[in-house]
Amino acid sequence: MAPGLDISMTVDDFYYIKPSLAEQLFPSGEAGLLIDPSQLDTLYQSCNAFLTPVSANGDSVGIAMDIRTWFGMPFVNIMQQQAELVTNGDFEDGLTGYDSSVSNPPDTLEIEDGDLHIVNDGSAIAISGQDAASAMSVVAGQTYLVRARFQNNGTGGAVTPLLAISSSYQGAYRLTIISSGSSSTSELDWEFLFTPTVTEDVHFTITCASSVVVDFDVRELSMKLVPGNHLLQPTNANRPTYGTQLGLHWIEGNGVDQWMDSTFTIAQPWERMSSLRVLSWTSGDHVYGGVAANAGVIYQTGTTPSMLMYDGNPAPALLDELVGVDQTMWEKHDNTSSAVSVDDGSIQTGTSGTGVPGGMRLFAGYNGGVAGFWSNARLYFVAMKEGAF
Amino acid sequence: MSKAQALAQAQAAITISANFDTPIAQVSNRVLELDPRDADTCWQTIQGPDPSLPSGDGDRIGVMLDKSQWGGKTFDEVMAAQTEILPEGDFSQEDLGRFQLERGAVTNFDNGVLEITNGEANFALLRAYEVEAGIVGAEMFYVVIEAEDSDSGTQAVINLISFADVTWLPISAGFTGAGVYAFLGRVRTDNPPSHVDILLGVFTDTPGDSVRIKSVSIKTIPGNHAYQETVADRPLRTLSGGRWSIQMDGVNEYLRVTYVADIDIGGNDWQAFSAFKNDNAAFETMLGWGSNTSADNWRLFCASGFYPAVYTEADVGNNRQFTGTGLSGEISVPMVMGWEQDAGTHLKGYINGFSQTLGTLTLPTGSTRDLTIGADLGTYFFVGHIYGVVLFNNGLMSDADALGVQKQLAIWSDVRPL
Repeated sequence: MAPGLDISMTVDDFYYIKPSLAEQLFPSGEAGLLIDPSQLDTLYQSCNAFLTPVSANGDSVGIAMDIRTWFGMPFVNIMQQQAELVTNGDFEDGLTGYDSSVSNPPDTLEIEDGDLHIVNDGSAIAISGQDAASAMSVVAGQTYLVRARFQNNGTGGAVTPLLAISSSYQGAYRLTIISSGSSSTSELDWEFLFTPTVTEDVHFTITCASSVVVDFDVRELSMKLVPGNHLLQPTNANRPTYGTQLGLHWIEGNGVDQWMDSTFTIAQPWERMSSLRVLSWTSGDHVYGGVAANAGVIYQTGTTPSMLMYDGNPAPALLDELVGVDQTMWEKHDNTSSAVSVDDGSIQTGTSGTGVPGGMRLFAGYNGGVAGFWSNARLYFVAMKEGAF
Repeated sequence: MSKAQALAQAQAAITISANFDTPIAQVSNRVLELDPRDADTCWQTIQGPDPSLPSGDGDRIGVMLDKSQWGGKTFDEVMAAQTEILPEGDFSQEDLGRFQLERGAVTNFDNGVLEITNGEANFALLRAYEVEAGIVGAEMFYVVIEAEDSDSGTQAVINLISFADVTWLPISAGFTGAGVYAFLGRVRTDNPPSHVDILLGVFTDTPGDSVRIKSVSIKTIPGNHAYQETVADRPLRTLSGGRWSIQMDGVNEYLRVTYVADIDIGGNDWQAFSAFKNDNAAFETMLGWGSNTSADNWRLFCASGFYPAVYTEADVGNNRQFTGTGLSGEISVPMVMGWEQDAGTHLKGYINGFSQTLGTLTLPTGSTRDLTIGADLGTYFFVGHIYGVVLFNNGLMSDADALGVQKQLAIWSDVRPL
């Protein structure tokens, strides 16, 4: 082979040839986040449900994924590289990790042709996957991609699989995923996101909500961490919406009750670069707020539109802000050396304080620990980084 | 360095780019493309009496050339590739060919230069007969004459004539030195000619005045060009905020495109896109034909309250408005709109890249009306700025193509998302 020519390179390898924007902005994986709504494979309507993409104007955004450690890869590729948390999810080790000694066990629980084969006589079944010795450890606030593939063998009735993630072995369900009954013998290929609120060991429980004889296979169980400090909104009513026109993409808060946040540790000095548009002006509304404290703030103030930074002290200020105009905003949160500018213009400096935000809240303020002071605004892009860009 | 990269990425997120979409030039069946940014396409007059003047900032637009057939080329590139209608006009064979001297005398004819001189009648007249047969009425000509006044003091004059000696195109140029004189000429449609004659003369009262003619070229300009014959009704070409536009006063200014089958919107599948800034929320016409009382009236317009809509007299009371809430807050805000129709059964509207299906509407068919831009030939004059108009003859356009066209128009006009 000629020097330098490696014909065994794959597409995945190619991503490493030129450092991605994410690698250039976060060369050492610095704390922070990088949100780009134009990458539609990073936006999903819920962080605890089937993987429902965001695609149309007005779609709810339940998760906007942080891509700062993704090396510029699409979601599919970065997930291929993530560690598998499920032991024996492909059933190559027989029934290891799966336990039928549960209430309402199935008539048959066996490995057949590499799949987990389940036959039931009509009573409810429950098969705990991942016994106590092979539980999956999850961290509160992190998001996991779960994949499960089912196959109705066609000899029984409609299969209504239910996959639950339980808090402990046969414990309380943290998340329940169920589909409508199907007699189809085509494969059910489920992908869903799970964002736990408790750091703990979890298990799968597979049941079939059916009183008829069912005969189906489980072909695969998988759980992987989706890396990053994602912006999340678990509550449907509070989710911002996605918007797109003319090839631009954004997340929009209604200024009433829509917001998202991401919890992570970040210390001063830190910087944030974003592009956004304030849609309407109400003094006190927060474009950015803190998660763990009233810090990391950019909020609207005054009757003449202006914006203030706040990490314990309201300064520096952006004066004569324009409402309804797209703009870029750069912030440096560094107590006495804090600074902010719009559209790469003149830099305003001041003392913002020493508060640490504990993450980033979008379109809302800390408000004593509950979101409030919602902002009616759009976010086109945001990069937040410990240290300096 | 890293901050600059972050800033560049943030700026890119609010910058409309057509780089990865189908640009206008790649969408098939384009039949009209008016681009006020392109100085080569904007002229103050349709034809004479002076050499055609480009329309600069604040000048009126007599002709706006349609670029839809130009394949992305410049005016000069397009005209260089057009067929020469008068091949004898280069005089390289030192033969008059279809030219005939009717008055005066040939005083010199060598090295490919023809010199004609006033005679006793005080003018010399060189005429080329029947330059082209079967001329289409709406055709625009581009005439380039390279000549030199061969004496000092008096003026030589060039005139063109058409319609087989019946109706003059009032194009003339007086000149005293050497130069290249370019004219746009439009054949009138009220008396379609069978051919064009060209007259070149030394129209002075001084015997002995002469002119040297090096070449005469006449070519048609491909496209369905927009024009306004009435000087007072011509809109302005204006530059504001770095954006060129056709500015219309809402009183009497508009452009028209002579009917040809390609632009028969009633009889074709079509897509129309326009970038504009509307300065009034009243009923106004972006594109249309007919008058508001004629049965074949049809127009794309803004209803009172700024509801973009399709209207046809054939389906009175059934405007197809394509916003549910109106856009009264968007007055004087640049935006891109599009409309498309598939055989009269599907109607779709676009605003700034998102679309809305509008159901069906009875549209006039087979109209031979001229297309109008900024009016419907009688009322509902548009007031504001038009940054571009593109018309296609297709079925319903693919989403990617429709988005690409709108993005390109958005770039022309600095449209922001609503």
